[in-house]
Parts: sequence; structure tokens; C-alpha cells
Amino acid sequence: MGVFKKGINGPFSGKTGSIIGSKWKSIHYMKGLPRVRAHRKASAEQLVQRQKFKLLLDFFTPMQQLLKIGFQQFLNRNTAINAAMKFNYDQALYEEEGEIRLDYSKVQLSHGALFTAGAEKAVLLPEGLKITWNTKTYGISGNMDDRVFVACYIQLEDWVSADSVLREDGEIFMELSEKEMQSILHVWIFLSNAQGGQASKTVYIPIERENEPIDNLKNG
Amino acid sequence: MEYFYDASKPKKKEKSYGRLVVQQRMRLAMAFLHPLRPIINETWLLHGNGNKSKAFGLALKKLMQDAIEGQYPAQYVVPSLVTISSGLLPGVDIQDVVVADQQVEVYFSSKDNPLNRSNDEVVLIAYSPELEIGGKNEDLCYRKNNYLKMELPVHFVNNPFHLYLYVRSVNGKQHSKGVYLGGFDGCANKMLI
Repeated sequence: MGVFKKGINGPFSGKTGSIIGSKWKSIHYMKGLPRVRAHRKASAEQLVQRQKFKLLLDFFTPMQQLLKIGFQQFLNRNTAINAAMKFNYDQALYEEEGEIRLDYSKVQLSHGALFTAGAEKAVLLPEGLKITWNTKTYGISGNMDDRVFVACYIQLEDWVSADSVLREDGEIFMELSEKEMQSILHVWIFLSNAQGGQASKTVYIPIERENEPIDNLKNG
Repeated sequence: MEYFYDASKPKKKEKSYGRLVVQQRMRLAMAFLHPLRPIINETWLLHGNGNKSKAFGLALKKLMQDAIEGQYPAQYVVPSLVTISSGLLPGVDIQDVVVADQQVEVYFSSKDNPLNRSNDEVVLIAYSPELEIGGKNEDLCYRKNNYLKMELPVHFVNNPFHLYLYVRSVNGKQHSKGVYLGGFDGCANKMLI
């Protein structure tokens, strides 16, 4: 698929012979008609790639709004899901017994130069999940009015619960039903500045019960 | 940086050795300096004639020239050779650096110099290029104090980090050359180098 700048006759859109002109996010594309017959069987490699794409796409689609904040600096020429796919494709997938799986601890919901909070903890209490972090900013990158975004993936329901507070609050409580508490939970945290131009990297927080740590991945 | 670059992906076209060397240098320098951009923008601003991106570019160039060692593909950044700040303001003489209990104490002295002002601010930077996290002393410390104490970011409890120090004039326009105080392995006082 070719990208072209305005030529002598300017960009075009629509089908011209076997060439299709289109525009997306101010980028002018020139595409050829597909050469592959629609009913051709996919090769083993193609199936693996499709499986990877499907896995990531299914996982990211419900959290589009969150990804728009996390990958905000890449949205000029990307959708939030595109950016998330691009960043997680090489990092967050692994193969086990011939199946492609998602490594939840390596999933990134954001990317940027803002510093992470540090000392992140998630404790499972009888009524829900309490997440805490360090509120200090240490003077280089980060302000007290940065927003902290927390996402909790409830594996049993295949559902993501998300919430946000200010960095200075230092903690957030997410209420969970009894059924949700029985499920395997994965928690991520990232920060975004008040103006909305910058984001931090995502930190995966292993969940602890009040006294004992839970190994999320073992069950996942 | 890794957002744009993935070493596992095969390259489409063979690139010349020189180009590969320079590209790797650029990547290493950028990965090291980018998290410190707010600091670099300030400390190199005079060299950049007030232009922040020019200032950062000059710091990047200096790092690529001085602080990268090794042969491609095993080039690496030597933190002790990184110039975090540059300028004509006289620096301070470091007497001792103590890292313990998640805080760092620096004892220093300053010789008499017509360019010195007793109210020049001393700035300490703790930085971990691996974590891409840094911190600086939030309590103001002046040249006349001869002592500086800073709380280290919680990220550094079990991770290596490097310490840099520079002096800046009270109006923030003049800076001294940055001094490397050493690399430490976590908040226990274990020197890396």
C-alpha cells in the first residue's frame, strides 16, 4: 500500500482501473486490488498471524477509551487500537503448546515519557480491590494533578473495569461483586498529565490478599 | 524508543556499516537522555540560544561523541562520561557521597571565585536509564550550605541508579558542568563503579 504526497494533479480517491485512492487521517493512500482469491486456504503462518491479531483485537476493543488516553501522543496518524496493537504485538504474546496466549504482565495500555508513580500495590479486600501508589513526583517528570488510570481485567467475565483519580490521592478503591472476586484479576496502572498530552508507561500490579500474595499468572 | 524499533524484525535492505553504527549510537543516546529532557532543556538552554529542541540536540551530540564506547553491535553508554549540564559557572568540589535508607547525602565545598555566588543552587539528579526514572532534590540547596540531602525515588530501592550534580545561578540562566557522583546498586551504599 503506497502513501503519496500531493502530486501534480493532487490526491485522488476512488477506483481507477486496478488502483484505489483513499484518505485516512490526512494520509493519502494508493492501494492495488487484492490479487489473492477469496477462497484460498490460509497458510499455517497466516493462521498464526490472524490468531495473534484476533487475540489482541478482542482484548483491546472494550478498552478503546482508555487506550485513547494511554496512547494519546500517537493518535495523529494512528487509532488508539492500532497504536496498542503495534506496541503489544512483539511484547505481550507468547506461544504455549501450539497456542498463542496473552502475557498479561507485559500488556502495555499506554506509552510515554511521564514517570510512573512507583511502589504500586493492589490488595484484595473483602469488598473489592484497593490500589495504592507513591504520590511523590521527585521534581523531573510528573505533577500532583496528573491523573492515575487503573484498569482491572476480570477474566471470568472477560470485562475490564477502569477508573481514574489524581496522583495526589495515592489510592483508589474498586468495588467488586462476590462473583468477580472469585475470578482471576489483572490490574494495570498508568498516568497521564492534566493537559492530556503525555502519558507514562503501564505498570502491571500483582494482586495480594490482605496477608498473602496471589500468583495471577499461575492460574491465568 | 522501542515503540519505533524492534530488533527481532528482519531488515529489508542491507545497510552500510557506518550507517548502522551511527543509528545505534543515536538510539542509545536518545534512550539515555530522553527521560531527562526537562533537565537537559534547562541546563543546555544557553547553548541552544534559548531553543529547547536545539539545546537537547546539542546534548545528544555531546553524548554521542563522548559517552558511547564499544564496537557495533555492542556499543554502550558510559554514564560517567555523560554531560548532563554544561556551562561556565564554577562547580563544587565533592567531599563525600553517602547513600543509605533511601536517601542520599552529598558533602561538598566551593573555592572562592569571582563568578561564584553564595546563593547559587546546587542540583542533584538521581537517574536510572534502565527504569527510565529520575528525580532531583526538591528542597533548595545553595552553594554556601556545603551539604545536600535528597530522598531517592522509591523505584530505586532494589535497582541501580546514577547520581549527577550541577550548579545553577539563582536566575536559572548560568549552569556549571555536570559532575558524575557514581553509580549505586539500590539504596544500600554499594557503588557500581
